[in-house]
Amino acid sequence: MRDSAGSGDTAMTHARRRDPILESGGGPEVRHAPSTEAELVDILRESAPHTTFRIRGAGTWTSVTERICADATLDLSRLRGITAYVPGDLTLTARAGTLLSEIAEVTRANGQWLPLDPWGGSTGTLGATLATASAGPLAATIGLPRDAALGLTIVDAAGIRTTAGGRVVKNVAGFDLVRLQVGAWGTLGILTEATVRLRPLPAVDRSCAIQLLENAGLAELITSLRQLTLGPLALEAVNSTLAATIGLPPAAMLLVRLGGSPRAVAQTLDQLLRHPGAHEISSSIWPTLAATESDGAAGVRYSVRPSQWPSLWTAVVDAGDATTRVHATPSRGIVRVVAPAALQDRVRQSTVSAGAMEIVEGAGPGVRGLPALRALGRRVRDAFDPHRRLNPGVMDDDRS
Amino acid sequence: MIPPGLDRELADVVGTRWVLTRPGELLAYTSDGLPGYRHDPALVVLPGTRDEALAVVRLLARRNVAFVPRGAGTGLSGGALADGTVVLGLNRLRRILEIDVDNGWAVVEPGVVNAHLSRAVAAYGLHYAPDPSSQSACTIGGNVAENAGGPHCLKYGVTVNHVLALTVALADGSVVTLGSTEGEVSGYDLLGAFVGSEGCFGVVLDATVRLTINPPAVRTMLADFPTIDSAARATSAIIAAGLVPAALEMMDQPTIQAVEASIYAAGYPVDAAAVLLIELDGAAAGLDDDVARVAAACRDGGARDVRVATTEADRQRLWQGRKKAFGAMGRVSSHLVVQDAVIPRTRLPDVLAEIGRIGREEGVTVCNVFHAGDGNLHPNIPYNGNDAGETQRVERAMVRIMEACIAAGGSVTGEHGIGVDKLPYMPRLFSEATLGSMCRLRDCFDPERRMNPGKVVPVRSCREWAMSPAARR
Repeated sequence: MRDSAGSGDTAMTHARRRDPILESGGGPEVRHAPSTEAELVDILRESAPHTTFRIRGAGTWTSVTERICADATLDLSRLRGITAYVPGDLTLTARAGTLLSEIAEVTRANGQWLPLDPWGGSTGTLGATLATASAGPLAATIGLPRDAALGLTIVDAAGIRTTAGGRVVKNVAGFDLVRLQVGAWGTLGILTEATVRLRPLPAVDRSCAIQLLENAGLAELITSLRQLTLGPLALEAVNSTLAATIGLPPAAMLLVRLGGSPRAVAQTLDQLLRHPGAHEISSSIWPTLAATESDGAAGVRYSVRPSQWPSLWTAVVDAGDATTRVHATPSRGIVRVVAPAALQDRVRQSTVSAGAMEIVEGAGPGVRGLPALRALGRRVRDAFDPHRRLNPGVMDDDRS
Repeated sequence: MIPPGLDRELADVVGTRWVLTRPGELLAYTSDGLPGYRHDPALVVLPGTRDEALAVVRLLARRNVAFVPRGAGTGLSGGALADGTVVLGLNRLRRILEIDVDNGWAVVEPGVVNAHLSRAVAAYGLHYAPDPSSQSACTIGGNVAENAGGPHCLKYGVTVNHVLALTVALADGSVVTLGSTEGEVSGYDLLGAFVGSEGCFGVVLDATVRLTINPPAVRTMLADFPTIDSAARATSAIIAAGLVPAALEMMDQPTIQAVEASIYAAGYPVDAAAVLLIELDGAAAGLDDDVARVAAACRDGGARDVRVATTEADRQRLWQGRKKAFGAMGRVSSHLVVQDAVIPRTRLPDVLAEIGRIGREEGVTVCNVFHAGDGNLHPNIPYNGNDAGETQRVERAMVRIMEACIAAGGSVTGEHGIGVDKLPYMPRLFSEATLGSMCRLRDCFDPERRMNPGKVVPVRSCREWAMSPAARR
C-alpha cells in the first residue's frame, strides 16, 4: 500500500472533510485524489499488487460504495474538465470527474444536450454515470449510457493506460471494449476520460401527467399512447407517495414528456389532454423526479418483459405502504422501489409471484444467470482485474 | 490441416449432402463480398437446425478444429474466410421463431435474411431498422457478427441498438444467453461486447431483435450540388440546424453516372458533382417544416435543386439507386474495392477533397457513395484486377485514403468490420496495450482461439494468439 503523499496533501485534507464515509469512522485509511491521469497511473503502479481501491466520483453512489471494503479510496473528482467539444460533430470529450451539470451548461449554449438522466440527477459525474450505466426515463427512447459512449480512456488494474472506441459516431474497429466497460462499475478498469454523443435539444419540451385512476387499465393506457402522433421522449409512472414528493397531487400518475417540433408537440399534447385526469405539468418535474434518489437510497429494481409491466406495478404498489416510493418505466418493464429494507423484503415477495427479476445495483455478472454465463462473467473479471484490486465485492458473483 | 475422417463425422451430424469438400463446391466459399482476398477452406459444413449447429460446434471442439462461422458471405472485409480450416455456414437456419407484437421483438435464427424479417412483420406495422445495402441477401447472424449499419442508422442506430438477447454457442460447445427479454439484466454488457465480434466470440443460435414501429410519415428528398464541397458543407449545416434525418446519404458524380447507366437508374442528375439523398420521418405534423429547413440548408449551401419524392414509387426509385450503387459499379470494371472509413462529420469537406487529390495522383477513379450524416465514408474504386499496374495503384490509393481518414481523427471501419482487410491499420488506431485488452476479451469467450483465427486483431499484437494451436495450424 502506498500513502497519498504524492497526490497532494491539500486535496486529501479537503476530500477528507467532505467524505461521509470517513466521518463515520468506518472507511479506508488512505485516500488518493489524483488530478491527472499520470498521477492515477503512478498510484496504481507504485502500490503493492494486492492493494485494493474503492473508486469514487462525486460520491453519489454511497449505497453501493459503502459495501466495498478496500485499502484505499481513489477519488476521481479532481480529474475533471471538458477536453474537446465540436458542436458540428455532436461529440464531446470530458474527463471522468466532470459533472453532468457542467456538460449540460456548455452544450445547452449550442442547442445540444447529452440526454443521460441518471437517478440522483446532474450532480453525478460523467465517469460514474458511464461506469454504473445508470439510466433514467430518457433511456426508454433515447438510449442507455452505453449507447451514448463513443470512446473511453481507461487505466487498468495494473496501471496500464488503454483506450476503447474513438471520437467518431460510428465505429466497429476491433472488439467493443466501450460496451464492456460501460456498466462494469469500474471493476475492469478506471475510466479517466470519455467521448460521448450529443443530440440537438428538442425545440420544445413539454410534459403532462395522466392520473391512473386505479391500477386496472394500465396496459390499455400504454397501448393507446402508441397511437400518439409523436412518440414520447419519456414515460414514467409514479405512485401517489412519489407524486406528492415531487410536488404533484397525491395520486398515481403516468408522466409523459414530449420533445420535438412545436407543431408536433402541440398536436400530441392535445391528444394526451383528452384522457380523463390528464393535465399539463412543467418539464422541470423530470430533474425533480431524478433527484428523489440523490440521498443514496437503496436502489432496487424489478424487471419483467414490458407487456407484463402492469401486473408487476400493481403487485409492488400493493405491497408497499404510505412511505414507499415507486416508479416505473413501462416500455423497459422496470419498476423501481425506494423503501426501507424491511419493506423491501415484503415487496420482494410480491414481485416473485409477478415473475420479476430483481436487479441489485453493482451486483455480480450473471448472478441470476445460468452457470455458463456466470463463468463467462468471472473469466472477464479475471482477465482484467485478476487480483480484484478495483471495487472488490462489486460485480463479483462470489459475493452473493 | 484438419483431422482425417472429420468430414464423415460431420456428415453423421448434418447429412452427407451438407458437408462440402470438393473444390468446385468450395469455390463459392473462397471469398466473401470483398473478392480481393481468397482463401481455400478445408471443408464447409451446413447444419439445418439449431441442434445440428450446436452438435457441429461440439464436434469441432472435441476434435480441436478451428472454424469460421459464416452467414450469406456478403461481408466486405474478408471476415468470413477460412484458410485451410472449416466454414460453418449458418444460412440454412432461416426460421423466424417468434414475433411478439406487444413487446415489439422477434426471435430469429441466424440465417434469416435481413429484408425477409421486415417483410414478415410488415403486416403489424413494424420493421427491422438496420438496413445495410446488402439487406436483400445478408443474414441477421452476419449483421450481429459485423454490427452492421445502413442508411437509416443515422437516426435508428446500428445492429447493437436492436439486439435484445442472443443465445450463442461458445467455441467449447457451451451455450450462453446474453442479454434478456425480461426487462434488463445485471452484470457486464457481454451482449454489447459480442455484437460486432466478427465471429471470434461464438456462434449465434438465435437472436431476439427489436422491431421498430413504421413511422407515420416519411419525406424523401434529393438535393443536387455543383461541387462535392458544397454537398459536404450542407451536410454539416443540416446537422448543425438541430435536425436528425432518418438518413443522409451522399453520392458523387462517378457514382451517379454508374447508377444512371445501369438498370437501377433513379433519375439522379448526371451532371451534378454530388447529390444528397435525405429522408425525414416521424409525426406528420411538423414534418414539412423540417423538410423546408433541410431544403433551405441545402440551398444556402449552394444546391442547384432540391426535390421531394411525391409518390412511394418515386421514393423507392431514389433509394434503389443508392442501395444498388455497388452493383451498378459492376458495369464500370471487372473488380471493385469497397472501403469503409469514418471521420468526424465536420471534416467531410477537407477529407473528401483529399480523397479527390489522391485519386487524381494515383490515376484511379474513386466513387464516393456513403452515409454523410454519420461521417461514414465508402470510397470505392472500380478497376481491372488483371492489370498488375492498375491493381498496385488502387492499393496505394486505398492505403493513402485510409491514412488520411486516420489523420482526420477517424476510424477505419464504421460497419464492415476489420476482417483481414483492415488488420494493418489496427496498430495505427490502437496502442499495443489496447490491442492486448481486445485479445484478453476474446480469450474469455474462446481461450483456445479456434473461432475465426487471425481476424480483427493482428497476430503480432496478440502474442498469446500467435502461440495458439489454432493459429499455428
